[in-house]
Amino acid sequence: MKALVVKDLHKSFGNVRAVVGFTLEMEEGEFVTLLGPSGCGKTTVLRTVAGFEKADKGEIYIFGKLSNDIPPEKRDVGMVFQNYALFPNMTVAQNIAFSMMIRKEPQDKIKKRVGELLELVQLSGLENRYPHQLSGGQMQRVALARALAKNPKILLLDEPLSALDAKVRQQLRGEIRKLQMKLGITTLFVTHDQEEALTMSDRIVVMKDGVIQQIGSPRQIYDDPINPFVAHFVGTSSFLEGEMLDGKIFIWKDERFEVRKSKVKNGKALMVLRPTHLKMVKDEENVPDGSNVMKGRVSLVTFLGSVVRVHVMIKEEEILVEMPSEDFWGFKEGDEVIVYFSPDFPLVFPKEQNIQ
Amino acid sequence: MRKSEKRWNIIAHIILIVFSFIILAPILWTIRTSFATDVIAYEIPPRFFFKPTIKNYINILVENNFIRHFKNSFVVSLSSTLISIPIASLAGYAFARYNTGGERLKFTVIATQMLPPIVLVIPLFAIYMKFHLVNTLHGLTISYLAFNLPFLIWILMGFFEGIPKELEEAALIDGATPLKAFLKIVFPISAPGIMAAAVLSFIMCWNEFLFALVLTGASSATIPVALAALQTQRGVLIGKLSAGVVMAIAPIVILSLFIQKYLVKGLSFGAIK
Repeated sequence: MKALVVKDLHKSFGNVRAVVGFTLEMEEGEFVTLLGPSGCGKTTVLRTVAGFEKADKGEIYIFGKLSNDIPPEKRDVGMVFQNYALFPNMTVAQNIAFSMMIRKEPQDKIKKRVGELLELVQLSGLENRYPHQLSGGQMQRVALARALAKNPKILLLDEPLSALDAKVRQQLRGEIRKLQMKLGITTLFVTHDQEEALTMSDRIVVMKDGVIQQIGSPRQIYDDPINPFVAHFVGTSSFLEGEMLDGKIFIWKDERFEVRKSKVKNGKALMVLRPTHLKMVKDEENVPDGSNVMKGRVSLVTFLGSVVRVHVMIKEEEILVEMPSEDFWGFKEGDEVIVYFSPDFPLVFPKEQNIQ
Repeated sequence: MRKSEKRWNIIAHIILIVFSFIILAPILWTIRTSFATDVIAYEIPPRFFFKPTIKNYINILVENNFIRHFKNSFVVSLSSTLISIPIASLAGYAFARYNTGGERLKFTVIATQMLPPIVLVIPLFAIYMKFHLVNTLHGLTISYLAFNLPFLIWILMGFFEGIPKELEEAALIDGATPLKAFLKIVFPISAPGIMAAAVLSFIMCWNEFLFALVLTGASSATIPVALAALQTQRGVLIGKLSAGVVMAIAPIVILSLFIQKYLVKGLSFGAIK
């Protein structure tokens, strides 16, 4: 049985169409991320699954049960909110125990479960603190423990990491994913951060203006984006506007590139180049045969730790090239360079598809 | 602390002391007069040191029936507060969370406060005559209720709006019904705010003069009305009046200390995020 089925979901707020024809099926134990810019409807989908919003049209099945008219308190889901939403008048232990207290479970059972959960989120010893005495990362761990306390069938995470510092965010990212795999809990995660989506998910749903753009594994989304928007939103890319000839040759300014993956046969087209697909050398003799070649001048070199990103000006367009730090040969601003790429890499889309 | 900072600090304090004194002087003088005999009270130039007497307090309580007026004030202020707070809480909550009636209803509620009370007091008196509500404590309570509710609704609405919606949603998703979420989460968190609003309502009723003057009679007069009555044809009974004023202020001063504590507590709960 599917853990969650959302079928043709529609939701508008006044004149704003927040979600249009959203359909998704989730397997049990799967981690699915809704990814998109703010206002793309991803949070509305999550809130409709939680029961906070009513669908205008469409059905939501939670483990086979039609749930459209079930109020949030009767749905078997747990949720973690962006701003933690811990009850400020209760201690950590009371917060975590809240759902069990509502169900009037015996005290000793509650105490045992709270202890287990605190250990799970590595906060043992803090049960008597109040939320305002905790750091952001600790608060979000408590919120996670509280959401897991009632053993929900589905866990909903609404941008749980976006209010945290970069360091804590990265750490918690890994922890949440490990915890999710350990418990095998079906999880629907909402974020606008592509890195979170790529690192944590089994599958990613990329959304824009309430419409699903693409559903796929992180690898599929990154390597084989379905349109320029997905390519632009997930990962870094350079875009070249040109013209396709016979589905094989891409003409950009006065350059001709051979390409193998084009969605256009003839006419105006947009080529997507990932910085990692591009290579850079000083002399033309080092370029492998059959590569597409461009000449340019380095305008900026930025060091990102494990990789170095070089901005190269080619015919008044800035193109990004990334290479592992250890392969970086010390190009500097102003150097004349040769950039090349294999015909296998670039994707070509029809021009009318917008990246924004 | 640097020298110039220190000097500014001293100047600031001198200014503050002067203004505090300007505000406090009449009150202090009233307190002083309340312990003086009429002879000393009217003496010019005034005497600062004299043997204090509590005769004014005894006289006003016994001769002028102030125990009764105190009771009246207390009954009216307390009952209108106790009735208005639950109504205002629920109304404010509905406005804040469900936007009941939209912006227009919110505005209408506050718009009732824009009429000067004096416009309403005569028609109200005529209506009260018909319903035999003049010179009754419940009549006065009803009028206070009507005039305090919009104000309290707005105060509490602002307070509820400050409580993140996610807190209730978190309670709902954890299995609480909407009523339970209100009672277990929203109510405890907003208790300081509700308490502050209650104290404010009490103070407004306690100090109200115009409606009390028109709608009450000798037996139902509240403190402000009774104090005004001390301006007699034989002149102002300054000793008694002072004693009455001091007694009228006392409960408010005590309440103000309470409200301060709750306001501070209310602010510290701002750390919800």
